[in-house]
Amino acid sequence: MKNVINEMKISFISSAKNESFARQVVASFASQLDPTMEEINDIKTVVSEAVTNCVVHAYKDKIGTIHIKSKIYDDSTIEIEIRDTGVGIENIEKALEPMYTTGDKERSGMGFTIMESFMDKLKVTSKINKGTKVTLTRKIKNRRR
Amino acid sequence: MKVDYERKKGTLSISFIGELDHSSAKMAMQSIENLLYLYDDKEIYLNLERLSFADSSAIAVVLFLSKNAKTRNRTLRIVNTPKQAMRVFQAAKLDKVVNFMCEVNI
Repeated sequence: MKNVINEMKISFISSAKNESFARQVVASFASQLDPTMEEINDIKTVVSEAVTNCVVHAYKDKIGTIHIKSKIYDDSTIEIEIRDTGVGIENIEKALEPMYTTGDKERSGMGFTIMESFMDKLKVTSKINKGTKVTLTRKIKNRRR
Repeated sequence: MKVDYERKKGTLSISFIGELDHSSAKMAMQSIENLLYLYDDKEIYLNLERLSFADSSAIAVVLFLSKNAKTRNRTLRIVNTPKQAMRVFQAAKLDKVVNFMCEVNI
């Protein structure tokens, strides 16, 4: 059984300007696992995707709050939970399909595909008008020495 | 993010400088549209050498540029793509539909 050795929580408003802030914060937190540049970049990318989903879809016509909780386990695993209290996802299976988007032309519909392929585990739970929780897990393997 | 461009002997080189995510994608698309409308150079290079971060919004921007170039009968090459951005593009198999070239001096 693995144990949590560190944990952090942040909350911020769903402004697109906070996407960069969110990925930098999580990357900084993950850096204590001594990841490679590629691992850090993957973490930044998936956080950016999940936070963008909150900004674009969850709080489409309003400003809401995005919550990120991240845990580091003693087996060098990082867990990142990104949660909103927005509109929710009607059909999670459909949302996970590559190229599927209900967003504007600047969305590619590849967000969940990237999260799935860059991380070891992706879990999405959602309730209509209650919100969505995306949990991403990755074991940091290639540690610099 | 900043969009820069240079014209040289029938070639239009567009550079993205900084981080390309949802917050900058619309501006990047607007700049591309304006540049392709203003200049009729047959060859277009998108130089990503100074792109420090890209998420899936960059996929939409590159596809937008590719479609625009095709519609206007221009040739598009994406050059000097950093590893991080290439990993995002490859996840979408973008390298199968757009012409990527590495280490090009433009």
